[in-house]
Amino acid sequence: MIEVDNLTKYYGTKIALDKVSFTVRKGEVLGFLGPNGAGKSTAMKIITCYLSPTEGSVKVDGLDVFDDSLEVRKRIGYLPETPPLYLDMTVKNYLEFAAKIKGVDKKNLQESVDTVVDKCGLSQYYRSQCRALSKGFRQRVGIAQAMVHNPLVLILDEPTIGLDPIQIVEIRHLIKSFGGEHTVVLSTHILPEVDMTCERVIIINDGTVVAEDTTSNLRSRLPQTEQIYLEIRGNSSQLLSKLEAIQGINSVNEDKCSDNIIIYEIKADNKTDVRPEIAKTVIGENLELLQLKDVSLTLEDIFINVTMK
Amino acid sequence: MRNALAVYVREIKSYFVSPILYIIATVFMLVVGNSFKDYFIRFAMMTMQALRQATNSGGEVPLFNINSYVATNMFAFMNYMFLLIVPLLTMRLYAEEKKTGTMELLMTSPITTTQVLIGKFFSCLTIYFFMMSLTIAFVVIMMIQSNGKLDWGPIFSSYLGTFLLGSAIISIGMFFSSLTENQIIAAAVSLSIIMGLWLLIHSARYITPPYNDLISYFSLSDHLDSFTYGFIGINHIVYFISMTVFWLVLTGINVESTRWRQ
Repeated sequence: MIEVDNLTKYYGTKIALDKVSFTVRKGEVLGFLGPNGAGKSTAMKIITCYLSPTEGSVKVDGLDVFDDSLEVRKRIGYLPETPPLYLDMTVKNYLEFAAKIKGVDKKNLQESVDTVVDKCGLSQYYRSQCRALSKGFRQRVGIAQAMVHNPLVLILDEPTIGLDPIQIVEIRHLIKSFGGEHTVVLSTHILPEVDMTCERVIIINDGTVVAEDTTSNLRSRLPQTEQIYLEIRGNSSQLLSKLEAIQGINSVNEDKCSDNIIIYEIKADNKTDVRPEIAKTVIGENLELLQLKDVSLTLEDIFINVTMK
Repeated sequence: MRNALAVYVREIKSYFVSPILYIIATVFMLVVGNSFKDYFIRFAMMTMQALRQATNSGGEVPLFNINSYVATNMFAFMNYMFLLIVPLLTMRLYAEEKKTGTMELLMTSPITTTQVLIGKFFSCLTIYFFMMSLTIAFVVIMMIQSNGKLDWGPIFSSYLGTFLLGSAIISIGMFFSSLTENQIIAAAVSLSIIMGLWLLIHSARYITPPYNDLISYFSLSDHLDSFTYGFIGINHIVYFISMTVFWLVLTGINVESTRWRQ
């Protein structure tokens, strides 16, 4: 659906994107990850025809963003970093205006607006001025604006920024529900968000793509030790040394909490699963096993790993 | 067309919800009205004096033309006021959209820069026309006071001249609004450019021919005089329209080029 080929963008002499290439398949939800200033927004602005690339090409639905700009824009819904609201308009008037300039037919106009108002949970603020809305609701109006013409592609620049935790969950569900029907590209630096909403991730740093894969593949690609979290109740002075003796375990860190509860942080090879062995040892010592879990690598680790290289 | 209309309607609504239009229109009517009152009283005194003299000496009562004593002065003053007011109307057109980020909505929607431009230009021209129409009140007063002997030709041509002047200075204001995201700068720069073009005719005096004609040709004021005397010259109409088109095209190029100039 989106083909980005050797995309390069200079701001003056400063390079923002350096030969970036990737593709986004139809119906996919793609996460665009990167530290501040990595070039996420720039890439999105080029895909949405807001900026022209210095070199390289971007095709959306087979159409070039430079040659068929208007056609591409019909197929794209875009939420910029700050929602582009006319503060003196009501939500109703604003969405109607957005629908009109995005080429929604007169007879479908009301229906389109009602649909997005419903989807984005805006009905209670339908007649309020945008000026009166909180940050979170402005963000929702921004998302509603982006999808009012039912576009093939949705480009969302940090869609959950400034929202409260409940709203974040709602917006994530909303975005996830777009997948399949719409192609979604969203940028963020909140990593769990990518984990929850995206099927595939592109990590971008200093204007270049440093990693591109599914989240689970990215995890397994890293040669890392496994971390295991163990929580027991009881008193045993021998457990620590017995745990250290298990084959595959590299190091054990003991941390005494309150009331006989001891927490162990165990580092092991990821070749063998040492958890059954740990459980047996704990039971063998006549201790109560409260928790035993695999603390696998988070996207943060991957992120730091690939961007620091 | 539909897109331009959507922008037009939005802009008109936006003018009417903000207090600035009401403030400007009120001040405009107060100032123009006050000057109209002055011209009118002066005219009344003059006619009364002449009447007294005529009855005393038994001579004939001279005829005074209300058009040339009141209407011409009022239109000249109104035009001058518009030079000061229009930058305040145009300053927000692009600068505000750039500041609030709504420019990104317009630039990424399937709507051309020209459609946006046309919508914005005509919305401002409509507001201008609306303010200009308020002064019809003064024309009605003149008509009543002159027992219907008002000469309608110069009145109509003066309005046409003011309207054409408006379209030219609105397009200048729009261009400078598209250059910056600061409305104050947009207003200040357009005001100085408009004033410069207005006063250009005075500098023509110090320049040797044939260049003085060229310089004065570019001056806005040079093309307005004949309208107030009731003369509609095609060359003057062409001047104002080409001035409008020139600045509008420049605005369009400037807005479109921001895509690759960044």
